[in-house]
Amino acid sequence: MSVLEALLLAAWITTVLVMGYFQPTPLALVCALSAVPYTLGILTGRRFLLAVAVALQLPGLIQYSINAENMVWSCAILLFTIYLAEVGDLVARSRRCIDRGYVKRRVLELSTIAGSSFTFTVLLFYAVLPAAGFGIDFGELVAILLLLLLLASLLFSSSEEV
Amino acid sequence: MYTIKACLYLTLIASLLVLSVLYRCGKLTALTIPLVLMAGLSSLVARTQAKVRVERAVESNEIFAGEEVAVKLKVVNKGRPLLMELKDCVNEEVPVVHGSNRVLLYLINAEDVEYVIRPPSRGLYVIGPVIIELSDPMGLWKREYVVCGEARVAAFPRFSSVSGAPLGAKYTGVWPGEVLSRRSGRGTEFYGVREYVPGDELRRVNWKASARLRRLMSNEFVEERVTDVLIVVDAGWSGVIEDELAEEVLEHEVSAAAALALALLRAGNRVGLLTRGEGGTWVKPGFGRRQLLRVLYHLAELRMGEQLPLSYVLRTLAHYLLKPHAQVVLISPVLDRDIVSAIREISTEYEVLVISPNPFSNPKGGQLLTAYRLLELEREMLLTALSRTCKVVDWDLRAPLTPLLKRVRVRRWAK
Repeated sequence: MSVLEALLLAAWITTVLVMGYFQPTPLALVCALSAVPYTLGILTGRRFLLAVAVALQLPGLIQYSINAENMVWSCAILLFTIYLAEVGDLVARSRRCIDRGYVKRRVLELSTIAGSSFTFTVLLFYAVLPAAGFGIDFGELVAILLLLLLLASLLFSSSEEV
Repeated sequence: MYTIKACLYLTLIASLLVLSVLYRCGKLTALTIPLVLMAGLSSLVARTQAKVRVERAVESNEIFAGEEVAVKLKVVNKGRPLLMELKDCVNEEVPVVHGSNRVLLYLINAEDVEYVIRPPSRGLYVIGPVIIELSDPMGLWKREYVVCGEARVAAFPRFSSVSGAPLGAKYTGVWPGEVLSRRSGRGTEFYGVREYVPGDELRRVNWKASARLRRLMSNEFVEERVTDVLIVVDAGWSGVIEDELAEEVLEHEVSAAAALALALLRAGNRVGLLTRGEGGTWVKPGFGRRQLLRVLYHLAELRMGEQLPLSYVLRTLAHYLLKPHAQVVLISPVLDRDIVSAIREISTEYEVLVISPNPFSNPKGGQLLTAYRLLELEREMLLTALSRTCKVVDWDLRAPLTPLLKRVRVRRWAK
């Protein structure tokens, strides 16, 4: 096991423990179980196990978000989970290939992207959303977002090749 | 092309939005924001264009089955540094024994990628094309480019050398060889005695005959020359016995054919090939190393499968490929009655040698199934029938072929 793999596993288990500490419910147990497919996914190179790990983590995260007072924490945990899953995916890919500096560069890129996303999210929360609360109805906001999502999915399905 | 991962992220975002509507909870909508931002930033960072050139060098395009081949790829980047996955497609049944044909590269200028494959059995194997895959950091989409074409590696059948093939063809060529011709000349077989003529070597003088006749007499020998040989490999008897056993016998047939081709070509003969089976084909008789390669290529491709009756194949092609009274070597386990009629038909015009590998020579667990026992009896009857019209070698697969070939008597042509 490499240092990166050990770090990833430690980070994932820490996230799971944090979730269990903040929210001692049966869903936390499901979150804790996600450590098994994550470890197996990284060690065996089976990428679908990482998706399973993320899927097991999500219910607890959603419940935590619903009850949370500060959304920044929820977003931070979600981003960190996604980040760990993505880096784990890179490590899993490198199990079947020879790595020549690819993983290191990609981890740097992913770290930058995750960090930037978190910064922008925090900025949005503190600057834009309170202002939006005055003018836009919640139902309208969700409807707009769903419409955008529908458009995006139409684009996805119509353009198989970029 | 978008990946499954992109679909999963899209599903997650949609689910969060639907849940937020169901629970009337804006916090779940807010959870989608970091996801969308991450996906968006990932797409912004990605590179979609690459100026990459890949050259492949294969250590050897012609090997024997089981040997290793090193494949070297030189990857040159003419643009900005690039993150990519490089994949040189290799047939799934060919194991990569050293290195890997899939590489994750951070390519600045140039990189060398090397891996070693070991084709497990004879056949023609395709390496390539080389595909490079560019994707965004999160792997939400990917774009593939084919940057290098295919290369072919021929894995020839493995064989051990064979000698003493009993050729008794009446037709002989003009070059000296190993086949007894009907002429006197240089050779080792005694032909007769004639009166000495100036220029005869002294060691050829028959002193006893000279003393008896009171004039110098010289020994004459049978001229040994080359001939034309058509090797016929029969792989058209699938379904008669178990596939595994049939494949084993076919491998022996192919190895014997390759060994015979090498031995006969080394002796200066013209050798041709006729195969019956899947991808059955023929090679006109020819000389030399190139002809050997041609024969080996066709043998490498031969697979089990019945297409046309052997009698029809021989009747149609033998005249086209071979001169009258030349040599035909048939390699077949003789499990088909049709072979006897085919051999009878051509033995009037050609000298035929049948090498018959015995599929039942190595029974599993020491006992033959009753069905196999019956097949073996039928085969023995067919071989007995064949031995009346041509020379037959019943080859026990546990024994080497050379001693069996040397045991076969070659016809000595009368003076």
